[in-house]
Amino acid sequence: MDNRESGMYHDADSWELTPLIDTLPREDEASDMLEERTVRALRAAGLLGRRRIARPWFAGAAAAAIALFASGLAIGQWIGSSNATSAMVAQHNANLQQTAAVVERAGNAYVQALSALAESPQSRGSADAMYARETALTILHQAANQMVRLAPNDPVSVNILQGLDQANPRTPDRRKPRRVIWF
Amino acid sequence: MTGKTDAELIESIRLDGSERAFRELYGRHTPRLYQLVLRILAGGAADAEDVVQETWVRATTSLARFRGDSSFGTWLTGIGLNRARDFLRHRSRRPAGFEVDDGDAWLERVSARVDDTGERVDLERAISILPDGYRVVFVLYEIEGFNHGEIARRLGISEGTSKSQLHHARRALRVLLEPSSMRTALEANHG
Repeated sequence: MDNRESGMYHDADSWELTPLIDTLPREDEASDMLEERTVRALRAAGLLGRRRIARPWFAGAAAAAIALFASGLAIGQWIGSSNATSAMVAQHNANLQQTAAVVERAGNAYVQALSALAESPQSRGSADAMYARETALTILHQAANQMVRLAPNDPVSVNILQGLDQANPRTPDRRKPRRVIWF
Repeated sequence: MTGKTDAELIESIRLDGSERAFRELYGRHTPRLYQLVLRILAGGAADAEDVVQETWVRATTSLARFRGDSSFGTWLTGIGLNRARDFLRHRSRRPAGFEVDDGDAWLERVSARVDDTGERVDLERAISILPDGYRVVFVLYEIEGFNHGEIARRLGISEGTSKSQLHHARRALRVLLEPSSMRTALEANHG
């Protein structure tokens, strides 16, 4: 770089110094210890070697985050897919089938209990027989009520409920307002 | 030596904290930086090494800010220069050191001491006994090749001050290197 300029100090600086200056060394070797202590200082400050240690952790964390995101994305896509909807409907249908099976089992037990009661020699006249009959009617009434709720326009269920109310004025909820909502 | 460019080594240090890359970069630029700092401080090797270490720590910390607008060596030199000036301020306990002081009085004292001791000084020694302001400008201009505009920006002084400091430095060196010219130089200056 030629930085020599003419100017107000040119005459005063006319003494030729350049040959001497050119003999001056531009570089000098510092001690080896300087390099080592500089590296140590940079290590201590976390500026050297830090990411070699951190990289596996970072890479692991990044991989885990990507896997988590991918899993979430896959689950979201699965839920949003028609297959998932079908699965949910199937699950809903399965629940209904299970409920129907429970109703069937309970109904069978109810009918079997009534049958046993009807076949019992003590089923007529005794207080226990009267209590059993009342219980059977109450359950039949509640069952008819639920059937009307389930299918308000089903004439069978409605007629059963009305017949029970008329035939048995002592039905426990005969005085209560009907819980049937007619549409 | 890996043959990588400075930019590639810098990237390895920034991204990976690569010690190998740092050592290579250090090996390339420290000899020149160390010589510059040694001259500016005009002190012992221990002080210069402290400043060089501080320079590298500061530079490595700031690598993210190095945009490559200038060469890495120039950028590093700027940091080293600032560290060296901070060192001089603490050593002299003066805030600046670049004002044009009474150069003639200083020159007479030094010249008298040289005459009394009969000491013959070489240029390196003569530079080292210059006042801080003279010496820094002289080193940057005559040895490092900066122009007065660059020196003014780096040191936070005017270009006129830089030229003046250089003038005083050259005159002082002439007297120090050729004591017999002392009387002539001072008479010319006063005349």
